Amino acid sequence: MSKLLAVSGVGLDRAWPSIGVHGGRQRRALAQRLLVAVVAAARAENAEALLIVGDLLDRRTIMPKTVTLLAGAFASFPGRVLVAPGPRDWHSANGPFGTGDWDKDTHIWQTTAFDAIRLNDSLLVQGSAWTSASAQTVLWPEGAAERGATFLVRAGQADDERSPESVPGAHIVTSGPSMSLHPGCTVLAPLLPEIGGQAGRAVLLEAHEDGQVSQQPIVVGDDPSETIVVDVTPDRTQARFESAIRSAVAGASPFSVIQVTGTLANGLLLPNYSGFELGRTDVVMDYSQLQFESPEPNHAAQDTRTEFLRGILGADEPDEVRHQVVALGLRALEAQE
Amino acid sequence: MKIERIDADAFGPFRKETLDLAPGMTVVHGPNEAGKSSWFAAVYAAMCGRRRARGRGTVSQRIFKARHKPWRGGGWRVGATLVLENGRKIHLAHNLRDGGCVLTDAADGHELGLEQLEAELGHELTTSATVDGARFLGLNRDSARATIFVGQGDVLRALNEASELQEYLQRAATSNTVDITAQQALMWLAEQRRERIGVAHVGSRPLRSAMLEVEQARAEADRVRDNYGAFQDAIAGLRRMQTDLSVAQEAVAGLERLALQADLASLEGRIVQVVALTKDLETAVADAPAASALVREVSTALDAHRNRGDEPLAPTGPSSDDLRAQLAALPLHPTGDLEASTDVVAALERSRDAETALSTHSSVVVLAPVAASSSLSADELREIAAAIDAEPPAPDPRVENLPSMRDEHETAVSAHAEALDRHTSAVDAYRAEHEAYAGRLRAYEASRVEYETAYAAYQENRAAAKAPPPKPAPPTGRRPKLLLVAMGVFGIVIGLLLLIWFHPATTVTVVLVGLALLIAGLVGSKPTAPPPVATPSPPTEVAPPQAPTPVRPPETADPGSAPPAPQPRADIASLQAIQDAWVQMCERVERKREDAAAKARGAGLAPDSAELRQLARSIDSVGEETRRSLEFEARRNDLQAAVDSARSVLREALMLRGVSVDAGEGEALAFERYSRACRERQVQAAAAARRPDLEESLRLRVERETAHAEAAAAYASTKKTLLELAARLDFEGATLADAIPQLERWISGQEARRVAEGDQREQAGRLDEMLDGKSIDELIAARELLRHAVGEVREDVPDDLGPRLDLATQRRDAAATRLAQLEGQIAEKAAALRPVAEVIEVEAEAERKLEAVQKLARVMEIAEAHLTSAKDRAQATIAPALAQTMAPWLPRITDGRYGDLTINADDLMIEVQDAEGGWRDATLLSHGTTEQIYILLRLSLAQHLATTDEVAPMILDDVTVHSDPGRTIALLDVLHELSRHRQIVLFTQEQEVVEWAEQRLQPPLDLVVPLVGRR
Repeated sequence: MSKLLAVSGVGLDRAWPSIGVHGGRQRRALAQRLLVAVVAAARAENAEALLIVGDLLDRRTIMPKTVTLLAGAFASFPGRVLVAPGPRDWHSANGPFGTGDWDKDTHIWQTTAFDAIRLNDSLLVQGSAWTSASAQTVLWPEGAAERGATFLVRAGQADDERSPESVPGAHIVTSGPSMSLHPGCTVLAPLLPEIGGQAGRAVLLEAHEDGQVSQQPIVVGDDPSETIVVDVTPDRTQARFESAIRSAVAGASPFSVIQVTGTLANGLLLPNYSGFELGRTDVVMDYSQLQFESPEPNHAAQDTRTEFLRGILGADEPDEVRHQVVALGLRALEAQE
Repeated sequence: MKIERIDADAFGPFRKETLDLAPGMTVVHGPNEAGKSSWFAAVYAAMCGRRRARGRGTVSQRIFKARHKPWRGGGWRVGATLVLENGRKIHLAHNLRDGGCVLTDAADGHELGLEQLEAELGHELTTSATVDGARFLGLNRDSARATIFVGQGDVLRALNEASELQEYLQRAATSNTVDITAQQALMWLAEQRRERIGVAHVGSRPLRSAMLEVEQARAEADRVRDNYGAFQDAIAGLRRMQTDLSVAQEAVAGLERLALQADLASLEGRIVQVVALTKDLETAVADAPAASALVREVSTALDAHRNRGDEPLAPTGPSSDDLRAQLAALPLHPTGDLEASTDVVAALERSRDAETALSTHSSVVVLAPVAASSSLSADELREIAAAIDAEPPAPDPRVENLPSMRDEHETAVSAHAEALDRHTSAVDAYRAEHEAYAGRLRAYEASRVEYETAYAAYQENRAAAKAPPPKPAPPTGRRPKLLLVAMGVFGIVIGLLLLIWFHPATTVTVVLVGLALLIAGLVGSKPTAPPPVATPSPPTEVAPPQAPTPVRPPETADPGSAPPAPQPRADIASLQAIQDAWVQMCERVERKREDAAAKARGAGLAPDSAELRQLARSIDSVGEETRRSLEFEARRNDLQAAVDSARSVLREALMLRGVSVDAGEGEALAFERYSRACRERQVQAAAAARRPDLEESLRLRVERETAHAEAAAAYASTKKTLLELAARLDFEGATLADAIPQLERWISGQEARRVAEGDQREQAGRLDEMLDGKSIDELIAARELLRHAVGEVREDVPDDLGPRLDLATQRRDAAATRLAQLEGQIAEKAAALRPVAEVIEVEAEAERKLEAVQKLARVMEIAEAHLTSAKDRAQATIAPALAQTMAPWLPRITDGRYGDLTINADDLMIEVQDAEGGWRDATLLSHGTTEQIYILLRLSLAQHLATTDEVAPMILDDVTVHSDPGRTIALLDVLHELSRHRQIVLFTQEQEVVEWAEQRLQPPLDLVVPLVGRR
C-alpha cells in the first residue's frame, strides 16, 4: 500500500484584491503556514509522496524568496514531491518551476503529455502540466499499469458542474472549486480558497496493490476565518444599523465574511453610501442576502416626498440602488443634521 | 380630533391650572400678560409633547424651554385630553423635562400601552422617540406647529416677508413636515454631491482623489510588473550563463589534463639533460688563462705597434724664430686721420661752390638804364590811346520796324473816335424815349388813384342799396405793393437823371432795378384790385368806374456801354527806349575821344594812339633795367658773403683736425697739406696691420713643431714596450722582429683558454637552470607524481596547447565574472523587488474606492432626478387643491374685494382676482389681506395635510390684529362656520372679537373663556 497526500491551490504569493494589502499579506503568510502544515501532515501520515495538483503558486506574483522557501520545504520532506503545474502556475522554462533550484526528489511535470513516475511496484503516477494559462484538451492515457494502481494527475479538470469521466484502470486526481471524492476520481478543493471558503483541506490517497484506491479527506493547519451572519431587520435607525455592523466587524477573525441578512429598513444607508468606515480590510462584507424594505407612500398624499417615493419605486433600478436612492432622498427632505 | 382640556400642572406661569375647550369654537381672551401666549404654548406642548433633547438641545428647544419652563417649583408637566372622531378620549400626560408621556384612557383612567395603542390605530404615535399627539392627525409636532398652530410670529413673518407665503407653500408641497422645501432638499443633495463626490477633473474631492489614486496605483502596478518581468528574464539569463560556465570549466579541465601530460614529458627530458650535463662537467679539465691585465697590456702594445704608422716628418716653412724677427720689424699704428675728414671735405666743397657762384655772377654784364621824357605815366598814355581808338556801339536791329508800328497804332485811334461818336448818338435817343415813358407812368398812377377812390364809392353805394354784398377779397398786401411801385418809379427817374452826369452802364443798372420794383408792385397788386370785368353788377343803376390802362415801358434797346478806346502799344514804347539809349551812348564815346586828344596835346604829344602806346612801353622798360641792376648788385654781395662764410667754416674745420692756416697760405693750401699728411699715415697704418697675422702664424708654427716632437717620441716608444714585454714573458731573441710573432702567438693561446672556461660556466648554468633549485632526486620524485596524475591514458598534445588553454581559461574566467555580476544584479533586483501581489491589491483597493464613489454618485444622481420630478408633480397637484379650498372663503373674509384665487403650479405664486376682474400678486396686497390669505392657507393646509381620518383642530393666537373691524368679523364668521366640523381655538385680546364672541358663540358647542391678568 502506498500513501500520497494530495493538495491543490496553495496559492503562494497570490494577490487577494478583495481584502487589501494588509489582509493580503496576512493571507499570503497563511498560505505559507498551510504549506508547512501540509508537509508536516504528509510526514505524519508516512506518505510516500506529496502530490501538488495545480496552483501551488501564482507565477505572475511569486517572489524569489518564496520559491527558495518552497524548494527548501519540499527538500525537507523525506519522500518524493510531485508537482503538476496548473492554470495559475503553468510551466515554462522561464517560470519559477523552470528556474528554481529544486531538490532531486522534487519532480515537476513539464509537458501537457502525461509523464509517468513509478513510485514503487504498486503505484505508477502519470502527470500532466499546464504549459499556458489557457485550457487545453486532455488526452487521458489509456490502459492500466501491469501491476498496482495508476494515478492520472492533471489540475483544473473539474468545476462546480462537472468532473472528468473515469478512466478504466486508473484513478484521476484533479482540482476544482470544491472538493468531491468519487470512485476513480478525486477532485481537490483549493488548500487556500477564496475568502469565505474553508482552508486547509487535503486528501490522503491510499493505493493498494490490487489497484484499488481509497480517499480520506483531512484538514491541515488552522483556518481562523468564519462567516458571521448579521440580521439587520430590527435595526430601524442608521445608528443602530451601523452599530450592528461595527460590532460584527470588530469581532470578526481575519478573512471572515460578514454576511448581512434580513431587511434593511427604509432610510438606512449602507456604509458605502453613508460614509461609514468599516475600519478593517481583512474582512469581506456580503450584502448578497440582504433584502431591502420598500416604502409605501400614502395614497392620499400628493406632496413632493410622496411623489418622490412613488417615482423611485417605479424606476427600473436594482433593489439596492432604489433603496439607497430613497434613503438619500428622504434624508434630503427631512431636517438635516 | 378635538382637544377637550388642557392640564397645566407645571408650565410657565401655570401650576395646577386647566383650560377647557369647546368642541366648536373657543375664544380665550384677556389683556396683555393674562397668559394667552402661555396657554397657546401649553396647548401645543400638551398635544405634541417635546423632543427629547440631546445635550443642550437645539436653539428652538432652548428658547422654548426658557420661555415655558415653570416659573416656580419643580417638574415640567402638561397634559391634554383628546377626543378622537370615534369618541374615544385619550389623555396625554407629558413630562417635558425628560420627554416621557403617560397615555391613559380618559374614560376609565386606565393607562394605555404605546405599542398597543399604535397597533390599534395603525400608525406610530411617536416622533423622535417621544409621544406626539399630532400623530393622531397624520402630522408630527413639527408639521402641526407649521399648520394647525398659528401664532403671532407666523402671521408677522408672512406680513414682513413678501416671499413667505410662497416659501410656505413650497414647504407644504414638499412634505407634511413643512419644514423644508424641495428646492432646499435638492440643494442639500447638491451640497452632498460636491462634498462627497466632487468633479472628475479638478479639485481634491473624493471622485478626483479616487481617480488619481487609481491612476497612480495602476502606474505603480505596471512599473512593478515590468520590474518583475525583467527580474524573471534575468533569472532565466542566469541559468543560461551557469550552463555556459559549466561548459567552459569542462573545456579548461580537459586542456589542463593535456598540460599535465606535456609537463611530464618535459620533466622527463629535463632529467635526461641534467644527468648528461652533470657528467660533462665532471669530466671537463682546462688550463687557466693568464691575468687579464697582462693580456690586455700585450694586446694593446701589439695594437699600438701595428697602428704606429710612418715615422713623423719635421714641419716646413719659416721657423718660429723667423716669424718672431718679422714681428719685431713692424711699425706702430699711427695717430691722426688716415683720410680727409668728411666735415673738412664738405666745408671745402661748399667754399669752392660759393666761389664758383660768385665768379659766375660777376661774369655777367649789366647795362645802365636810359631815362624816358614825358609828364604822363605809361598807364595814362595807354588810357588816352584807348579813348582815341574807342568805337560807338552797334544799333539794335529791331529798331528798324519802329516806323511801321507807329502807323498801325495811329489808324486804330482814328477808328475808335468814330465809334465813340455813334454810341453817343444812340444814348441820346434812348434817354429821350425813357423820359417820355416816365411822364406816361406818372399820368397812369394819378388815374389809378382816382379809380380806386371811385371804386370805393361804388362799393359803398352798393352796400347801402342792397343786401350785404359778397365779401370782397381782403386788401392784404396792397400797401406794401404800392410802395414797391413807388420805389420802382423813383428808381427809374433817378436812373434817367444819372444818365446825364454818369456812365451809361450805371444809369442802365439803376433804371433796370427801378423797372423791376415797378413790375413787382404792379403784378402783386393785381389780385387785390377788383378786376373790372369780374366785379358783380350792383342792383342799383350806378355804373362802376373805368380802370385806367397801364402804360407800357419803352421798347428801344439799351445802347450799352461806349466802345473801348484802343490800348497804347508797349512794343512801340520799348523799341523807342532802345533807340534813345543807343543815341546817348554814341554821344558819350565821341565826347571821351575828344577829351583824350585834348589831354595828349596838353602833354605835348600827338593824339596818335600808336605813338602814345610806344611811349608808354619805353617808360616801362627804363624802370625794369634799373630794377635788374639793383638786383644784380644785391646778388653779388650775397654771394661774396657766402664765400667768406664758407672759407671761415673750412678754416674752423681744419683747425679742429689740428691743421692751422698760415698767414698768406690760404685755406686751399692748408687743406692740401692736411690731405697729404693723411695719405702718409694711411701707408703706416697698412704696415702695422700685418701684426695679428704674423702672431697667428707664429702660434701655429710653434704647435706643429711641438706635435712633431711628441710623435717622434711615441714612435720610438712602441718598439721599446714590445721589447720589454717580450723580455717579461721570457721570449727568445732581442729584436723587434723576434718579439712580435711570439707575442701574437701568446695572445691567441690566451683566447682559446678563455673560451673553454666560458663553455664550462654555461654548462653549469644550464644545469642549475634544469635543476631549478632542486636535486636530481627531487626531479625524479616529481616525475613519478606526474606519471601517477596523468595515468596510463595518453592523448596527443597539440602544439598550441598553451594558447588554447589560455583562451579556454579566459573564457571560463569571463563567464564566471559575468555570472558573478549577474548574480549581484539579481540579488540587488531581488532586494528591491516589491511584491507584485501587493501592488495588485493596492490597485484593487483604489478601484474599489473609485467604484464606491461612482456608485454613490449614481445614487445621488438618481435621487436628484426623481426629487426634481417629484417636486414638479407635487406642486402641480397641491396648487389647484389648495386654491380650490381657499377660493370659496376669500370673498367672504375680504368683504367681496377679491373674488377668486389661483396658485401657479410652477412657482406656487398666489394671485387673487379683484372686483374688476384683474389678477394681483398676493405678495403685493395690504397687510390685512395678506394676513387673511395666510390664515386661509393654514386652514387649507390643515385640511390638506392631515392624512388620517381625524379632523385637525386649529389653534390661533391673535391672528386678526392687522385686520380692520369689518374683515375681522368676516374672518370670525368664517372660523365660526368652520368650527361646526373643525375645532377652533382663538386666543385674542381684541375687544371687538370678544364682543363678537359674546354675541355669536353659543354653548355648549362654543365657549368664551376670559383670562384674568397676572401682572
